[in-house]
Amino acid sequence: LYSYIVKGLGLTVGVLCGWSLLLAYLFTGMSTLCGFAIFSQKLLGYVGIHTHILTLFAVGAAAAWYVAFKDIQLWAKMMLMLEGFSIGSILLLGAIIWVQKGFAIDMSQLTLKGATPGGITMGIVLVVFGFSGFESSTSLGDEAKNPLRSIPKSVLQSTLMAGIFFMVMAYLEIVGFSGTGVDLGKTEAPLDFLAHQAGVDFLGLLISGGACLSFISCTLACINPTARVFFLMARHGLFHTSLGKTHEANLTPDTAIALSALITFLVPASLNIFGVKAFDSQGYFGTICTYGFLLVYILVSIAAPVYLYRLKKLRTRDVVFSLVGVAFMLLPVLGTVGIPGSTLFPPPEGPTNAFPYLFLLYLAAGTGWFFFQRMRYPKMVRRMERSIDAIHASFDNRENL
Amino acid sequence: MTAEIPQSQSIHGLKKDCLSYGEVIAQSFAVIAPTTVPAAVLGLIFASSGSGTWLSFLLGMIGLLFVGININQFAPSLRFPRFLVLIHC
Repeated sequence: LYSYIVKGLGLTVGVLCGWSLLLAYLFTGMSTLCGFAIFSQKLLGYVGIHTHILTLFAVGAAAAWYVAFKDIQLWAKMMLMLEGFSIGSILLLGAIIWVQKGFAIDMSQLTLKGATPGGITMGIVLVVFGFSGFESSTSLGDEAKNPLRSIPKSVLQSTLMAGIFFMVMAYLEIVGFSGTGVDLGKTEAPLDFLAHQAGVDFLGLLISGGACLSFISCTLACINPTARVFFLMARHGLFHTSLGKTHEANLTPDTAIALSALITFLVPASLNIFGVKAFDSQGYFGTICTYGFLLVYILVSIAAPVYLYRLKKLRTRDVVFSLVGVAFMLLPVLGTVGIPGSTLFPPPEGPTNAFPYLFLLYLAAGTGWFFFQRMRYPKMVRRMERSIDAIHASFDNRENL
Repeated sequence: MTAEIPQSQSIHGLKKDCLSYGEVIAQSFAVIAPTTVPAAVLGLIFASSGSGTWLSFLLGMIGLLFVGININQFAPSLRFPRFLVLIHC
């Protein structure tokens, strides 16, 4: 049935990817829920409302659960609107900064003055975190119109558009900070500072609001694929069957969505009760989720030429694409794990240095659970094959229509 | 014998063919959360990359475009969803 994939990657690798994605989406959602709580606490503080961070965790998680549960179309339209609003505000501030600087061409940036190869490479680690999740539209295979065209196109276009936006803003923020005597590298909210410098404080407030909405829209966007991974894993016998059911009216995987939202709330809330600040938690969750994304990106890049080879369609350029993809993803891996004694890739400090091992432990436990379930239910593998074949047939039919 | 699935539902019982291209790309954008990078993360990247921050972004974008190309290798011969289901289970 799906022999070429199983022969190429093996079922165990597929399950490994599933566990990895589950962790990546869950922790991205938790990290952005922390961001939402921090920014909304600040904004509410401006109008004299002081709330506990736990209340904001609960409000954010509940809002994400409701929108995901109620109607996926409403959810998707809402995300587009929120993100558009945020990006528009930031670009407006960028334009104001550039106009005030007389459309300056910053030669120190263009000539990379003072930058080092090691520094630029290390920066890519956080860049990958910034981009992580660009492939998340691939979880909408069932719901997207014409998924075989729209999903691949969305993967590349979202990366390209976000990348151009990041580069433009990086250039303008550095231009904006030049001559102010303030170090951009030590500024937690650089856009607030730049808005104040430009005399447009109201825009800084709008951007903080936009960032707040962007964080919550990201939490929404993470709960949805998390729930769908739970949903499919339950359908294939790795979780309780109740997680593999859909709501009769909304046609959304309601139990899986509720579980995803609950975990997204409980983990940061528990850490906060034990004294870990939301800002620290945001960084920890962001680091952990990067491991999940990196493993998936590396395995996908390895799987592609193996798959094409099975089809006898492998070309030299496909191997090059794969090698470049893997090589690039290994740089952030080095950055997050580090090399003892190296000044280029120094190992991170605690508790971050324990995270890679916790991630490996999690993967070992997940894969062990898969083997355990396979021993208990020998027909499970067959059920997975049948399910995947049925999906394949449904896509074939849609493509032929 | 398999139960008949309504045409409006996928084989998993999810709402079928309901998301336009704009809504699909919105999913990717929302998880990337572009606003959070210039508003909260850019300073940290600048701390290591300095005046080469734009180059870190460029290299990052190029690397992830290659990952994206590898993901898309599964699409042309209609095997894309099958693979994605595998990595999602």
